[in-house]
This record gives sequence, structure tokens and C-alpha cells, in this order.
Amino acid sequence: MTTQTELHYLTIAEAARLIERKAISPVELTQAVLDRIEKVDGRLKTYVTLLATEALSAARRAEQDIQRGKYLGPLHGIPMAIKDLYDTAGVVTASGSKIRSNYVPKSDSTVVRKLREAGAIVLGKVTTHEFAFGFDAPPTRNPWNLHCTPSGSSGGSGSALAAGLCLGATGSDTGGSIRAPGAVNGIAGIKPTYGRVSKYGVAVLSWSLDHAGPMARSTADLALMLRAIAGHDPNDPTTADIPVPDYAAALSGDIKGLKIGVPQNYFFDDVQPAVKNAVTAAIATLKNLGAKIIDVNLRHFGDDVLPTFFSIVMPEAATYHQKTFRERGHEYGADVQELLETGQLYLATTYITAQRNRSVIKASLAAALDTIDVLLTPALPVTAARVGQQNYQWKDRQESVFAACARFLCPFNLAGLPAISIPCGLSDDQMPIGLQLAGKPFDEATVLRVADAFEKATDWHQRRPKL
Amino acid sequence: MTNSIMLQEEDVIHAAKLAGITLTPEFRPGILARLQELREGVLRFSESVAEDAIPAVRFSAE
Repeated sequence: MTTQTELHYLTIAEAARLIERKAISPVELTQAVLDRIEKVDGRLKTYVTLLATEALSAARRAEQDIQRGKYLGPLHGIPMAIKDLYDTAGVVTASGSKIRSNYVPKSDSTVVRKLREAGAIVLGKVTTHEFAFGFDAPPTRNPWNLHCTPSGSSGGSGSALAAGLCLGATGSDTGGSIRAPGAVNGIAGIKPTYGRVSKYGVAVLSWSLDHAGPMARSTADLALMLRAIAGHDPNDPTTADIPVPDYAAALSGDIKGLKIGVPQNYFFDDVQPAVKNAVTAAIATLKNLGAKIIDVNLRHFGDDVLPTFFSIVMPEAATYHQKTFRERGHEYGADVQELLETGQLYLATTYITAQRNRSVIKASLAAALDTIDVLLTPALPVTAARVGQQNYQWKDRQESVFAACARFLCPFNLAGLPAISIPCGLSDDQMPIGLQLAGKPFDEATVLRVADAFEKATDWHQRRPKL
Repeated sequence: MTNSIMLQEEDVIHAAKLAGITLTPEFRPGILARLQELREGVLRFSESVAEDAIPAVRFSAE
């Protein structure tokens, strides 16, 4: 029997089964999560706008519909958090910035509209780094250690999921902003293929690198959310008109014979020992499940991948903000202001050279994926940064928190490939470690299948922070 | 090697003028260092890129 105190930590799949057979009601579930928010969010500060009244009204409507036999599917009656970068009709969508503190969209972003159509309950809006331009989400804290950040930019979503303050959440990922908070908060997040999920109504950071995607406490939950939000959108010309498979049906648990590539260069340079140990153990687990582990060498991967990434994101962000920045530049936070000033000074030739480099990185990953099914790497080389920490120290160099978070994640933004982060261990100081799996274009199903098989064989995704 | 030319603070002030913005004085050293480092990185990478490579124009890896 599920108790009231446990409801907030149900997965979407578990809650959906209980709701469908009327063992719990959406109202009961929503109230349990609201109670949890009341209890712990004062310390975590994940919600910038809590829509308790609206959520309970929506839950009552869901309850009535289900009682009348109008069950919409596995997201019906599930309480979710929305990153404050996503437009929500009639609700302030500030993108973590003073610039948009009064912005109230008239309509929902496509992802939010699709979640509502699937019956999800919107609990409220959660923190983001200002305009998603950073690996933090102030003032939100990491529930595993309140002195640490939840990373970002989807840090509010990551922290809220880890603490039981929602059952699913939206994120966005330009250089790792779904997967980094996924990794450091011990939850799951997938950046789908570029073009798989509409970005209509999501504030832009970088047109060519931005991806919208789901975050949850299990891969099975990501499969349910992705099915609901993926697909072509006439409002977003970057979306692909490709059928959306039933991702949940792909989660067979069987990965026998599947080829998993492990890069022998780049992705294991300057990695904390705990991360390396956890990822090595994960490789052994997947091998025991019958996967074939194949060493892979990635051409053109070296120290200059990151400059290529930054040289695309900064001028694109500076262009998006150009008009507002000229009029109200002083209202941006200092870190974003400095990045936007830098982006304005980029030569077009440097930007285009970076896009040329990008085509080589794409080709390198495509060549590797010709011979394997998925690529396996650490999600991050590190565990969560402490609040205020600027750098990680390696044997012979310092690396900024920004660079450390982007290093293993941004190549898959540059290539537009689907990539997931799932929990694969804890460090000695009990901080979560993430495993990254990346796949072929529009083959989220295989990425999810491998991640789900790993979760079925381990319990890292079921560990919870002591709050 | 053109990418080894060191930028000076007056260069970024001039670039800002071309861009039509005024730089925040306390950000200038950070901007200068970042522009220098990233330009060098991008150009260094490009040296290993084939002559016939074209810029990425489709962003999913189809």
C-alpha cells in the first residue's frame, strides 16, 4: 500500500498505473506533491511560480474525467514542473531574468500544450539560469548537498525531481542543460535529436544548438513524456516530419548483441576518480547484460571542440538578445552581460569557421555510429560544484565549471544527436554521477532501451537525497 | 600565423565600436581573454579540416 508520504516519489509509470485503476486520484497525488513542496522547497528554492490553486483545479477535472471513463493515458493527472523558459499561457515566464519579469505569454509553448492535452497537471514554473546561459540555476540548491548547485540551466527541474517536488519536468539543452542537472541531481534527462521536439514558445539561447526535452526519475518516464511532446510542429520550422514511435514499447530490457561504443579518446580525459569508477562499473553491467562493448576512436576530438561550441553559442545568443541588450543591457545579470558583450564582438568568419568545424565533429560522430548502436561516456567529468565555485582543479590545469559541464555534453548538441544522462553511481561524499548514452539521429528508442536495461539491473535511479 | 596575434584591450574597445556597443569596463579583461582563447581554438581546429568541408547547415546528424 502506498502511503501519503511516498506518493511524491512515485515515478510517472507507477502513478499512472495507480491512477488508471483508480487506486489513487490525481487530486490526492497533486496534493501530496504540493505538501512536499511546502515542506522542503523553502530550502531548495526550485519553484519561481507555484500554481497550487490551478493545479488542484486541473487535478479535480482530471479526476472527474477519469471517473467518467475518459482516461487520456499515462500522463493523465500527473503533476509536472515547467522550466521557466517555456511559455505558459497567463503565467509569468521570466526566463530567470529581470528583462522578462513582467512577460505573460498569451499562449502555451507547444510542449506545454501537448503535456496539458495528454492530461498532465502543471504545478508551476521552476528556476533556470538567466536565459539558460549557464550551468547553474540560482537560487536553487542541490538536494543531495545544500551547499552545492543543481547545475543548470534546467537546475530547477533537476532539483525538483530529485526532491520529489514533481513527477516529471521540462528542460532545455543547448550545451548540456538537461543532462548536467540530470547527472548532478541523480535523475534522468534526455536531449532528443535536433528537430524531434518543438521549441516553439521556448526562449532562445542558440537557434542551431537548442533542444527541448523531458526530465524525470526514470528512463521509462522519459519514454512516456517524449512520446507526448515529440513530433512535427508547423510553428517550429526546425522540427522534422518523422513518425514518433512508442518509446515505452521499445523498453524490452533486452540489449543482447547491441554494440556499445566506448571512446578511447577525449571522453575520459581529466575525469574525477569516482566518476571514472562508476562509469567503468556501468560498462561492466551493460556487458553482463549481453551488450558488446567496442572501443572507439573519435577523429578530430580534442581540446578545440569546446572553443567551437562556444563560438557558435555566444554570437547566436548575442544576436537573439541584440536589440534588448542595447536598450536594457544593465538589467542582465553580470555573467550573462559579459557573455553577451563577448558574443557581440565575434567576427562572422570566426562563427562560420566554427560551423565548419562543427560539420567535421558531426561527421566524426556519424562515422563512429556507423559501426555501433550507441556511444557511452560519462555525462560530466565531475560531481556537483559548490555554490560560488568557479573552477575544478586538475593535475596540471584549472577548468571553469562552465567548461567542465559542457565538455562531454556539447558534442551531441553540435551533432544534433539524441543523448541521455542517467544515474550510475554516487561519490564518496554521496553526490550523484551521471552516465551518458548517445545514439543515431532520431533513434531515441535505442538510447532509451539501453538506459532502461541499465536501470532494470541497478538501483542508482532509486536512490534519494536525505532532506 | 594570424591566430597567434595577441589582442589588446584597445582592440576589443575598437571592436565594440564597430559592433555599436559600449563594453562594461570591468568585463574587458575577461572578454579579451575569452575572445583570444576561443579564436585560437577555432582556428587551430580548422587547420585539421579538409579544404572542401562546408559549414554545418543542417543541425541534426541525418
